[in-house]
Amino acid sequence: MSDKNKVIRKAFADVQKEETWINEQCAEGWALVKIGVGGLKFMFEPCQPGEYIYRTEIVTLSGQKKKDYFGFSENAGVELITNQWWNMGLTYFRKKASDGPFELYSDVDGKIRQHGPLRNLYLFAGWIFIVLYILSAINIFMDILLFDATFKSAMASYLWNTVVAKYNLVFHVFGLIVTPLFLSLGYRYRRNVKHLKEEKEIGEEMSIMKRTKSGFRWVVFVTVIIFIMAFILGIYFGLNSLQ
Amino acid sequence: MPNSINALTETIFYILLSMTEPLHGYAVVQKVKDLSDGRVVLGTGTLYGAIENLMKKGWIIEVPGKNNVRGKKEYRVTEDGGQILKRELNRLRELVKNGELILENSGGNRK
Repeated sequence: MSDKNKVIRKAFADVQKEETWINEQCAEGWALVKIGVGGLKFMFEPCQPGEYIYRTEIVTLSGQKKKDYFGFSENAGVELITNQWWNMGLTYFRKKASDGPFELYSDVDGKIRQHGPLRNLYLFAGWIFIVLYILSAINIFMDILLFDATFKSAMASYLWNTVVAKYNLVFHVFGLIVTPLFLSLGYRYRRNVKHLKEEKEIGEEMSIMKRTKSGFRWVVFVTVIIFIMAFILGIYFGLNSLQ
Repeated sequence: MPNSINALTETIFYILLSMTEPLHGYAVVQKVKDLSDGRVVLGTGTLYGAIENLMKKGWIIEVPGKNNVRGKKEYRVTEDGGQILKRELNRLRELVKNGELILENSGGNRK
């Protein structure tokens, strides 16, 4: 059986594109059955071409409510493929195409509920980074401007030799890359939510709206990994330089 | 009378309407599809959210009994929910009446 299966490693920036791609695979006779850690590894089994319709969603529910929702979906003939914390709650569902059209959300409110959490997440992450930057900038200016040379060099060597200094360096380089990303995503979802609310004032029909969805969740996964690595490296070098 | 609201969405109206008899959550999808001749197909996420909200408002309740395994709960409209439905029906009648009055008359005039 396993030699008949197919594994594809692929990174998607946009979850909507990912969903389309998964459905294209299914149309070619490959049904998604499992996702590897990080959401970068897709495992497929042979199926009838176009046998299923796949849909993805960020599920923000937790605990019993999440179980209820998945149980509810299951009873409605919707199969849960996977829902993992390391995928930021991105959840893959599928339903037999012979059952007719399949959408998770048929109303505007549902879409708003879907995009709101993403907006909050990305904006929060982005602005946390900005605040940390400002704090560290103030720190550096204080160092340079306010203290005399002896104190400064003592201070500098102290800072440099601590775990924090090493950790901060990695944090700064990495933060420089992800901050604009988080903020642009945050504002993209804010625009989406705003647009949806405007649509809602006119009417409730969903069909006129573009299905724009979340992206870049794998960036968050990579962020976590790099932070952990940076932390371990920071402790390692920090301890070394103290000796 | 329950909290005043202006108009129900199509989704909520159809969900309430289909729950005038006890119904499993997921059976609502099929019923609404039948009622609307296949035009309205409720998303599972949408339906789940709507049921939660309607329960919170007290417009529907869980029917105690036989099949209450997880996700297989049955629901039906409460008295409040019934009043909401009736009021919505009256509102819709008014819309239809005025729509017909103005559009059909002016259409006739042009000819």
